[in-house]
Amino acid sequence: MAAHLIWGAPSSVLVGDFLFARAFELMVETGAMKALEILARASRVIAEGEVLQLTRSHDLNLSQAMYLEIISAKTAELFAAAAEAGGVSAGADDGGAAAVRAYGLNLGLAFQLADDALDYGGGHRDPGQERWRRFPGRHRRRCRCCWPSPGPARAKRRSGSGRSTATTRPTPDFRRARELIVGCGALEATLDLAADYAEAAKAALQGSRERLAPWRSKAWPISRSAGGLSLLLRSLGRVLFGIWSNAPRLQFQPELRLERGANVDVACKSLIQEVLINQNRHRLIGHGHLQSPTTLYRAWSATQCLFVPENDPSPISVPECAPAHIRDRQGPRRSPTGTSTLPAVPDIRRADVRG
Amino acid sequence: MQSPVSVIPALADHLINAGGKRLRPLLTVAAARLCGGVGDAAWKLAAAVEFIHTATLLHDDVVDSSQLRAAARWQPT
Repeated sequence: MAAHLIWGAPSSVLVGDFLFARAFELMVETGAMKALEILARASRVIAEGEVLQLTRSHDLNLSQAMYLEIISAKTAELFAAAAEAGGVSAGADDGGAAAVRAYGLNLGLAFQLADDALDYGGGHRDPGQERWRRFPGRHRRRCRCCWPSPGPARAKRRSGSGRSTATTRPTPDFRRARELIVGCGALEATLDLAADYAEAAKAALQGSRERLAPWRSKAWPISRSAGGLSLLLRSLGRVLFGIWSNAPRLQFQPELRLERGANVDVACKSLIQEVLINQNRHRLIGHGHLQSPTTLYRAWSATQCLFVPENDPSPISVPECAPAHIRDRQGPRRSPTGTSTLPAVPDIRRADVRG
Repeated sequence: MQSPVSVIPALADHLINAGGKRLRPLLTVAAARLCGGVGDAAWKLAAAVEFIHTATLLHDDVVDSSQLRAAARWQPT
């Protein structure tokens, strides 16, 4: 159940404010002004994106460009800032920070596009189950590539699956709308665009091994069990973000104890576990309530469909929700690098709020 | 999440137990790894990123429900 239904809207808003304040306290604790600047700007852009979305709700003539601007601000900006802040904290130079930022931005766009498409039955979820209850309460976004996307599904997923079978039957209106969406190929087009942004994300990091961590390529004991380990690392990277297939040796440090022949699932879970433990250290998940790595891994695999590299011999199956040309590995890629054919996303960072 | 004001840890617990993929903080950690190594700062920034995300979810929820109520007034009965 959503928090505001239990504690009320005022508490939700105020605890949200509290979380923002705590976030800034944590940033200040790090003493990294650059990271503080990045995340402060992201917070401002997200708020702008939310307001922009609000003012464009019920707009039947919303253009694709405006839709991209909205999801860029409200979703992709935090992905970009999260990656950039992480890179900066590790001492990345301007080029490295820009590369991981571009990765995050494109990944965020891909994530939101796929999220919107899947919510209308573009994938493995039950068709429209997440969205129909809001229908036709709010039509925030409409464009040629994607159906409007009422936002609460995110919060609903996060706030648990308290659905009862009695309330999961879509209304006739919703079914009709879904027919129209599916019939005109909007879901497929949206997933195609998402796949292109995912490709663009990967491209942003390609060839960046030397630039991002030149010392690492020397420090890593390449000769040790190189074949199996390299394959394993590549697979693990694919499971997580699917980005580093060209630079397998720098993805993860040996503390993961990846051994030749180890199971990828187990290795992935161990990494997730490690992250969870460290999150706990900083009260991110608080009070010792460690979430089951298995649950987390399953949730994660839902987003995995976007990031499957071509011609990867790994036996991990591609989920049904993957775009068709990735699923059957036969269709032509529309663009190998993805960057040239993508709609332009406005650089929201240039907006000068002080002037 | 600690605070002497009881509703804050209660609400935070609710959100934490509800799950989430923690995709954004993991991106921070992964980017730090990619760029040289994960230090204490990276973990704190990752937590900050998740807090920002959670705050926006809380605010979104309230905005969404008020929008729903506004839209309901326009529904034919």
